[in-house]
Amino acid sequence: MKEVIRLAVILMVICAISAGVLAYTNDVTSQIIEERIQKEKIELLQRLFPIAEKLEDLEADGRTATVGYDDQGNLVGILAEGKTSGYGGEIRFNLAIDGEGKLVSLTIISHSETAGLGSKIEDESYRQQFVGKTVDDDFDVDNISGATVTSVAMENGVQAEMEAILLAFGGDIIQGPAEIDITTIPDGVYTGEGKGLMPGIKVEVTVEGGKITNIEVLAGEDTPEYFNQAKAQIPKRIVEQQELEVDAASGATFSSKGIMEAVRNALQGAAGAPVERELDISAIPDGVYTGEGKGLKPGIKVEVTVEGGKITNIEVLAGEDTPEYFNQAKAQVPKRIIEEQSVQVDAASGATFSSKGIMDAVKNALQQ
Amino acid sequence: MSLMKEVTKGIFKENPTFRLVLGTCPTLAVTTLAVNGLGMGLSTAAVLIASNFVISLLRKFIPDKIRIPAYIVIIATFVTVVDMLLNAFTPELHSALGIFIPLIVVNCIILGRAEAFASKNPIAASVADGLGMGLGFTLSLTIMGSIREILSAGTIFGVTIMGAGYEPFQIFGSPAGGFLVYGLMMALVNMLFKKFRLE
Repeated sequence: MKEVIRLAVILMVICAISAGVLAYTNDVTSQIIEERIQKEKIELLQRLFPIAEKLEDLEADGRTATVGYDDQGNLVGILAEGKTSGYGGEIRFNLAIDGEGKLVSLTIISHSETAGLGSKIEDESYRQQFVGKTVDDDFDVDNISGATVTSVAMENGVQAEMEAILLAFGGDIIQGPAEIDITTIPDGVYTGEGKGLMPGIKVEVTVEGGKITNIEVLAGEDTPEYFNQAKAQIPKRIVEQQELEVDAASGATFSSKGIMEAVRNALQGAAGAPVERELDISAIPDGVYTGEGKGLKPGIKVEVTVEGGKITNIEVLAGEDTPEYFNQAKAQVPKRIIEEQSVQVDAASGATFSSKGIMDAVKNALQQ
Repeated sequence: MSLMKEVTKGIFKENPTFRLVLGTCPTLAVTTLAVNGLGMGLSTAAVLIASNFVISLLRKFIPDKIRIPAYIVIIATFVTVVDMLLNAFTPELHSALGIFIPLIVVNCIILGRAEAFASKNPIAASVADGLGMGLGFTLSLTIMGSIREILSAGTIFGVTIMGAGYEPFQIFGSPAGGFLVYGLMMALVNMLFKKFRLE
């Protein structure tokens, strides 16, 4: 017994010392490694998007990205990290996407794939296959022979991460499903198409009094066994819930999604545009109004004082944009609004986003 | 003199790859290119020297019954530390060798030498043994990598040496080709040893 304890203690001591050494080394090196990865990223971005005049680090959906803008404030490039699960563990890569949503560069940051096989994802010739693709393209590239798992992981991972990055930072480059306000749709019968497992799902949607009253599934080429299930359940659910996204029929996910897509397709464009109210400053009663706006980042807050039908003071209370640009906008935009008595003034040059954000916030304050 | 013998034995008489048949897994996996063989060999050599040193140093402290887990912990710690240090301070070297480093932990040459030599011999001899074994491993891997690279791609260390009309043998780049080259090399080495009565 004594012997067992002695052995266990010695082994524990060895392990404890090892853990200590590792923790210390990690502590010292992890920051240096992270900084280097960051630096490489910036150099890469400057090389890939030479027209970028301004780089900003943004955060959204739990990701960070470096986004480049040209001198007009247009988005010209996004560099963000993606990851996927490969054969030997996590594969981390950098994706550079240009202003049109095309992949400009794919570089591998780190991976634990098999040396000589999966590690070929680092090869220029392999990575180059992805360049030029947009999210909607086919990501089926030539696999690395002997490393199918790695290859498939890369194809799926790069596409999925590219889409997620664009949704988070891409602005108008790709759009998630647009909000459709059913109540604004004029009465009528609308037809639309969607794709289940197979293309060719057709529906007819009847709208009466701002409500979906009937959905007729006219055609569909999916396997009848599943399609009929979806056909029986989905239209009923949509009409009941007055929602375009409802739970799929169990066992018939693709057909269900296809029918939902067709309904959305039918109603798209039929929904009226939200009415923009003209802002008549002279009609606003005296008072102090607060409003919020979004520059590069949300969170701009302003306090607007109106006296005698005029904007007399604007206080910018908060804003999360890069101070360098935000302060410029803060110094110029409120002054201009007061001078011109208009919520639409010239932006501070080089700080377009922050300027627009402040204008939005003022508008928001006065619209209430 | 005897230290020199410890070094040379690893290179020829007890060459880990062809004579002791240790570390065959990384041998087959990474020798697709000459440069990979060299990289793997040198990183293993570095770890081998260091781990032989540490294990020889601790040989009286570690009880016999738990020596294997203790060695594995020490080696794994060592390799991980080297990996992190290389990554932080010499990123170019790390990106060249980085993929081999995690493989070294499970390289049985390291454990084999810890068990067979470093745990029973003084520090200087253990370091010499590590150096010799490391160099022997590097030499074998580089030779195998060169042969496979020439046959499968017509290049050596990335430099084209075969004429434009050369039709590469793709199979030598694959694992099956690794076994072929390994087997033939071992046969050749055995033949040479017999012929010159080196044993």
